[in-house]
Amino acid sequence: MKLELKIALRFLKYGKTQTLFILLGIAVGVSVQIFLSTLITSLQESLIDETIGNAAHITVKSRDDEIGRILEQGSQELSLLRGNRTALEKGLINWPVIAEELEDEPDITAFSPLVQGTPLIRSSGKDLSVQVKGITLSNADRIYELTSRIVSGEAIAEGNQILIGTKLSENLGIEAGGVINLFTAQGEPVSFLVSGIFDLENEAVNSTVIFMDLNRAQKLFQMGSRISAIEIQVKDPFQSDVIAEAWRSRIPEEEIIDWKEQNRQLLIALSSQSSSTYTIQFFVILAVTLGISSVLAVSVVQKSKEIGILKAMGVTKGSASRIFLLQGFLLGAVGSVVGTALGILLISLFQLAGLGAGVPEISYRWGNMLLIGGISTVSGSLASLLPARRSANLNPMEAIKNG
Amino acid sequence: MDELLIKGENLVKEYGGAVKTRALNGVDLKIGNREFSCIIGPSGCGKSTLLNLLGALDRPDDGSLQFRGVELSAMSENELAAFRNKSVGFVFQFHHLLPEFNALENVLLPSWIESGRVNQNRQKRAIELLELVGLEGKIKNPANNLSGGQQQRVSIARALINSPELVLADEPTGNLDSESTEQVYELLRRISREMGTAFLIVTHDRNIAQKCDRIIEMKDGRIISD
Repeated sequence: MKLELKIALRFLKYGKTQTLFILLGIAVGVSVQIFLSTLITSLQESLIDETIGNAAHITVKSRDDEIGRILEQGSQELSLLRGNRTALEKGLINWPVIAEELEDEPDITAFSPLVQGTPLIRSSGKDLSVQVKGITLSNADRIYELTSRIVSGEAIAEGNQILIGTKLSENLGIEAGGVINLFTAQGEPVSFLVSGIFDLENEAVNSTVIFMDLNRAQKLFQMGSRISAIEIQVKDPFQSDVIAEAWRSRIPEEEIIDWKEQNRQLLIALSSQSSSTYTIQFFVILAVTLGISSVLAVSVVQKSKEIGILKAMGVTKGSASRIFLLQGFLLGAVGSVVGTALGILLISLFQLAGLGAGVPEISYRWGNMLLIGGISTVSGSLASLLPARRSANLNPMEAIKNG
Repeated sequence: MDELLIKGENLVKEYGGAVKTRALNGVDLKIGNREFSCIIGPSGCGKSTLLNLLGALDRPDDGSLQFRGVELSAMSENELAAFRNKSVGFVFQFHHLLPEFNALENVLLPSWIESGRVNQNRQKRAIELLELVGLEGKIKNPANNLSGGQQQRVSIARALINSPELVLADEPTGNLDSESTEQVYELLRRISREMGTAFLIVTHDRNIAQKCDRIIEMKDGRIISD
């Protein structure tokens, strides 16, 4: 192997220009792949993070409509009951049991019981609909990271103290320490003290959501000990559909929704974006492979005299083919290393030039780069198979006779 | 004749597809060790074909060819490659050095092929051989930085590096001027004498042939005088 490597290296070194050009070709191919895949992955990651980073991956809700359906199937009188059901009858009643089970689940990183309601705020003559989320701060923090996102005031959601978003605070002109009145369906205004203003980096949340103590929210919406839902985050968000399915069979009486179901369009868009990236990568690899193959095929013809003389001196068929396999491998490997460096340089320049404004943060996927480099190296070796075979079958006499 | 080195019996070699050309037509040949012989004959008489068979670059279509009593046709491709590497040395008309390597490396190639690595003793021997062929000052020269005669002398040193018992030379001086021809011939003769290597030289040059111990004359794929 050592001799073959030596000869392969000398062959490559001797044909400097040829070697340099094909190396450059491979490097450009690899760098384009790395640039493209890094950019796309970073973009997708930030998109997904925006979608589910501070949101529930799985939500457990009471199967409200199911009850309605059963009622409708009953007598006329019963169906009347449906619209008259009070909030007290809706929502999860057995949630402490579910919460206990969630506690023991290794795939689940966080869960937060939630009471939801949509009261109105009356502000300078206008009614504003807001969304109240009744939570226990310690649980909700694990999903929303509220405490660390308070921009003014304090993170307190106990009793009559509530948290509102930056946009809502702006719209209402209310700072931390201010008071707002909430009107529920019952019509009686209830006063709350704004203890802190949060920024969850989401316009919709910042302008409509109010966080309040769970028990206080239960009282406000007259839900007794029921809650609206349990919000769950899991270790691997992309497994949420599988986990949700498992829970569906465990608690069939409740409704379980996962984020993938709700964001089907986004996921389809992302996956078709990924497929087009893979397609581009495939054709780049193909072009690189064909490039290496043709350069080596030409090289076998150029070096046929040398191969012939090496065979006359006792080089075996296997060795003669390995000389070219090694050249392919070396071209692929060196091209990949140079290409990776070039790709990283490209990304840095891209960021420096400010072209990546839409991509908040580039995350280098070293594993992915290694894979691209590895595939290019393997392609280089595969590309040399045919030239290597020609080298192995070259008749030394012919080569020598033709001087 | 000394000890028998090569024994060929009824060697036949044909080339071509539909229309076959018989390059060798039943050749019987014995070569002893330490022999210094040459083959002469017109172009296309089968000299080079015979040399290729003896050097295991090609297999005969018929007949038997033994090297020190071992039948070559029974050997596998890899065994033949090892045979070419250790037991014979080649010197060609167009010297065929590898331009990617310098003079010393070219001489060492057969030893690298044999052992796969650089061997200090062989390195010493390669330098000695280059001195023997009068190239002591050109050891590190790239192969194509040498004149034709110098390249041929490097290839002679290369043929000798693995101490083969037989060196096959196909028109070794065919490409050289008369002065270089004389030098190369004298060199081959001296090596044969000093090292006891057998030489079989294919040549057009009657002057060279006259100086050999044995002249084998070929015509139309047969030996017509020996």
